[in-house]
Amino acid sequence: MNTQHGPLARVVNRLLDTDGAPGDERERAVVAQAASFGIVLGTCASLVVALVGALLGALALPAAVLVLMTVSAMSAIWFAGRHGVDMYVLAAQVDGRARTVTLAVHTGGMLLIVAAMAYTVFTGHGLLELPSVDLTGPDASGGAASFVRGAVIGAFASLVVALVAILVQARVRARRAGDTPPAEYVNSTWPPLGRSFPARRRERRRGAMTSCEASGGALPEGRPRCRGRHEPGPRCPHVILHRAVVWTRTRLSSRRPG
Amino acid sequence: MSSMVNILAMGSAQGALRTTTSVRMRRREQRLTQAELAKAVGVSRQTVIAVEQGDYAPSVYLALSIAKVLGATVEELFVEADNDLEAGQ
Repeated sequence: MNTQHGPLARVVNRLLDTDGAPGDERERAVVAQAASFGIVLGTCASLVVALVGALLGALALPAAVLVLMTVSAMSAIWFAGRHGVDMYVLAAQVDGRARTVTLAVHTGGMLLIVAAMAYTVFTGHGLLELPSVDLTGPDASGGAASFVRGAVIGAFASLVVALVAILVQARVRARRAGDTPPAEYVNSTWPPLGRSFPARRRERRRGAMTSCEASGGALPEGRPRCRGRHEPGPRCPHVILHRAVVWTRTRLSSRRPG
Repeated sequence: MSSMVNILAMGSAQGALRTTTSVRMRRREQRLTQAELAKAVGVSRQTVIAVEQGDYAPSVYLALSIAKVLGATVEELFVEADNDLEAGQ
């Protein structure tokens, strides 16, 4: 079985970026499980969206969602097959009750969607009718139009705030991941959980100060306690900076006349 | 078709091999911290914690790597939960 070679395999590997995947094996396994969770949840949400769309008389939306679900499932089955795993055989081995429930939910949902679409095709309107209110355009007025405009603006603002929050959170997490745990946390969870942010910051500072004091006489005069967060030793950036300042002052004072 | 994928996706999130480990004991004997062991075997510290607590069964390569760093064999470090119970009875 040729799973690693060929143009298609290269495209798949490029798409998945399997070679450059970050993290160790446990983290990658957790990511795979998280992706499975996302697929299950996404499929259920897609079914609901397609069903609501079909009930409201839309044809393109449920059809597109069904096609996307089929493409997603087919690609998963194809990928597993290329790696020697027959998902049909595995599905047949799953516990009967769980399989029955999942099959009933999915098959029933799809049948309802197709039935609602058929109703729309033959009657010209959906099972449910939304009140026709002009909510868009410059002439739109009324509470509903204002609500829709507010929702759109609110969604945009929420997206911006969420983007900024994600960026800040990623930065904070990257910084925390690079922290060296103090000795008292060596055999426990680091960073310490369940503490407030100022408490965690104090803990980090205390750990950094302990490390810096351990550098032994490297701290220059005038800086009794280094409050930086960095690796211990003479490469402390505060020590280096202070030494540079002292050196510059010495040079300048030696050049002064008299 | 999507239902079949969902059935398998839900099932794949279960059923990790439970092991009771003596990795922590051995690491303490070697006077290694979790961070040092994690760095030596090339994984994150959280993974070492998960292995020590028996929440994660490592791959053969990681188990061998841990055993090498701790100066023990895989059989000494990782015992299946069932075998451990039998040994205790």
